[in-house]
Amino acid sequence: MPAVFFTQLRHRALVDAEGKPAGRLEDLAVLPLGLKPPVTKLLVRGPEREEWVLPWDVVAEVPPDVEQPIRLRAPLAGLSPVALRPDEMRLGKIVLDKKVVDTARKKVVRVNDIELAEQGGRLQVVGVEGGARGLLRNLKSEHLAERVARLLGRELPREVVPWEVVEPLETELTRAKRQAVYGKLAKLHPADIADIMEELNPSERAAILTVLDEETAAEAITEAEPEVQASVVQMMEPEKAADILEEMEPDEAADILSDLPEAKAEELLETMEPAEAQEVEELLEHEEDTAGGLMTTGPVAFPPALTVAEAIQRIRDEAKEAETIYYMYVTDPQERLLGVFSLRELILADSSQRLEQLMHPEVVSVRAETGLREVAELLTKYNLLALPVVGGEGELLGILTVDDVLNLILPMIWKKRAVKKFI
Amino acid sequence: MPTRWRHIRRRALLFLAVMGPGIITASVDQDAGGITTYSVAGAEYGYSLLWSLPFIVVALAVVQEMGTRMGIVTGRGLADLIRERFGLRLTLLSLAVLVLANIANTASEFAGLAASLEIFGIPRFWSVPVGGLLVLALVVQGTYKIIERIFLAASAVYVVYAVSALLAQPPWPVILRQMVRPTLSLQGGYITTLITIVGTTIAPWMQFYLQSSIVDKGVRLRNLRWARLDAYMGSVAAGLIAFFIIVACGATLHPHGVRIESAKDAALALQPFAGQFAGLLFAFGLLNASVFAAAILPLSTAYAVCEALGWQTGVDRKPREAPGFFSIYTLMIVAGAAPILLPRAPLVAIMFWSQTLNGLLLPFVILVMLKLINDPDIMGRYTNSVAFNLVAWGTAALMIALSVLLLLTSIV
Repeated sequence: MPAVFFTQLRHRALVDAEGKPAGRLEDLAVLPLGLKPPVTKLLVRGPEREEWVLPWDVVAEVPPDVEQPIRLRAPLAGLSPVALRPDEMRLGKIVLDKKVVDTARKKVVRVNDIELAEQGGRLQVVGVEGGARGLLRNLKSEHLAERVARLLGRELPREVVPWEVVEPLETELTRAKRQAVYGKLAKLHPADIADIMEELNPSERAAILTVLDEETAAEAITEAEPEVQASVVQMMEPEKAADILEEMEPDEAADILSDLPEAKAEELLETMEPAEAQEVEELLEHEEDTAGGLMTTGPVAFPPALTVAEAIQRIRDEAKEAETIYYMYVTDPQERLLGVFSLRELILADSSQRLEQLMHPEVVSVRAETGLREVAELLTKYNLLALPVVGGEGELLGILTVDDVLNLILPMIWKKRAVKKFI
Repeated sequence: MPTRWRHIRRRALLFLAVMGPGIITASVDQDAGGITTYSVAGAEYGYSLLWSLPFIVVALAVVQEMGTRMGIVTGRGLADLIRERFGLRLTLLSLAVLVLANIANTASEFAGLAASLEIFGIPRFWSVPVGGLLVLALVVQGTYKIIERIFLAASAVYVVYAVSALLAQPPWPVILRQMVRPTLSLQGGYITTLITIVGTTIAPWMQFYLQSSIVDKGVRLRNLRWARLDAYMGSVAAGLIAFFIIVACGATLHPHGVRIESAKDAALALQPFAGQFAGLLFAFGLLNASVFAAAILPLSTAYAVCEALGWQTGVDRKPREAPGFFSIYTLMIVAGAAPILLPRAPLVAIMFWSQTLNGLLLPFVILVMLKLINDPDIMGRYTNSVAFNLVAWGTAALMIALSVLLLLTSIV
């Protein structure tokens, strides 16, 4: 099963069953389904330069010699043109010379050629080809590639990306015509999507995120570099951006908004749901590298008189959205912090016990203006997963989890290590 | 009232957020080639070429707006779009045009660098290699954005031409008459200078550069009108500076029949403003323009080539990770600097003729842009209006006609 290349099919002459010229091949249409999408139709520039679409079934033979014309089964007069369906994709128009994402290696590839293979009389798309060899073949021929390779004295390897990991990067205008775009991308881990986003330009990022569901989009943005985050949020329609920001942890959303121009941040906050917007606004008032700026608002807190059974029930009902439930807090009616208990303690306790009996009244907490370094020191000193953040009156404002801090502390540690290595 | 004030403030902020690419691109007009071309035009032909500036500004505004719109609507750079729409062969041809024009432009920047430092008595055998290494180092450090800003700020130095032009007390009635009823000429030199002024003001590479900056900046379709305003303002600013340079040179150099053969001659135009410091001021301005444009030009070329061919780009990568990118970048600098090192290389002529080359190549770029922007598959409902098509086609046609005319006059 030898490989057939799209650039060697394009512009090939066609002859009908009687050997009369039937025009030239302009493009191939595939049904972009499955691992190897089948070629379903061909676009032909007829002998009088008119353009028609023929079903693939009319092709009798594609000779391997690129100089030989493609032979059709029927005489020219017996061919009846068909129409392209909206879910069919033109290889020359949508894929060749365009950028695609290699979702396996998380890279953007410029498509220099498309590899096809014959399977039971049908052509199937095997993959797209980047790299110098594909480039030279697209430009002229495989011979040119061989000559250049000999000139350089080394092999020009073929860089084929299997179709199953190829995601075409479509523009606004080509996308509207088909559903199921970015299906392969959507299946990736959000952190991988974030890696891919860094390879793209702002409008391509926005195009992808608009198609993903809001939760995945929110996670992918959270994982991206700060500059990417800011540019992506600015590029999206404000309604969509606001929806995605609502999906994020408020502290992440606040981080992103604080990197935006003031007018843009204001616009987005106004577009967001009032409740979510308010949480984010509160966080925005704190300095970025302090406990207040990093914390998550709305921690799980209970009144002291609650029993263990009631508390567990309440967690089931209300705490789905909470960032962490490993530690829970007890507060008085003025929201002042009274004590803390862990999930483990709660589950192991007798179900009729009251929380005030269970809790530890001596809570390690930080103030909103406490700096990042001190927070990290406290977390490690007491081996905690989270710290409560309190205001001037001792009221509980939010919690800081170890992962909020780790993201910021790690680069500092790495830098120190890197410096040490060189000294 | 407060809500209204808030409204105005938000609009101003929106414009500021979008602003930049158009104005930066227009100020890049004031590079070594631009300054030299306008100076030579004023010194040789006095005010008799001024009439062309309003037309050039309109053409520049239209072409810049087209690039801006294409960048916003498609999210693709010009080289990308050419590749996607016209395939590999025309892409290679366009890239060849771009690389050729930009090697000439880079040579003109190094000529500017050498010429400005010769005013301080530094020979070019020192200034050019050191300058070249400096530019290479700048990009390896990955300070592209900073370079762009310094360049923008320092190019404001050319406002002194406006002051100088006014202080020289030029004959305004004559200038006005020349703008309305110009003394045209069919001499080869006059036509060449006209082509060169157009070429330096609407340089082909600027269209690639502008569209890429728009894409990188990530401007949303909703803010298209602010980006347009940016493009228009940049064009008018570029036209005004060109106007004042020509007037300043026309008032100071032309009456005495000074032919600009070195940077020292061109600096005389600043004497009404700066007196004995004219040379110093001119040298400073030219040096700044040359060094930073010499950094931006090869970089933007390397980006365009690599993106169209699908090679790795990025100043934040190691040369081994993006060999194509770094080779093109280095090649541009070496090829641009080498001719300047020839002992008798005529610096002013290099700066001037490089811009003529830009003028000759311009129609090709405009025609490609027109083909792209009028394709509804690419632009949807944002294709060109009839008026814009007329101006752009007209510019391309006139430039081709002028080139043919030049060819004829040089044969006859």
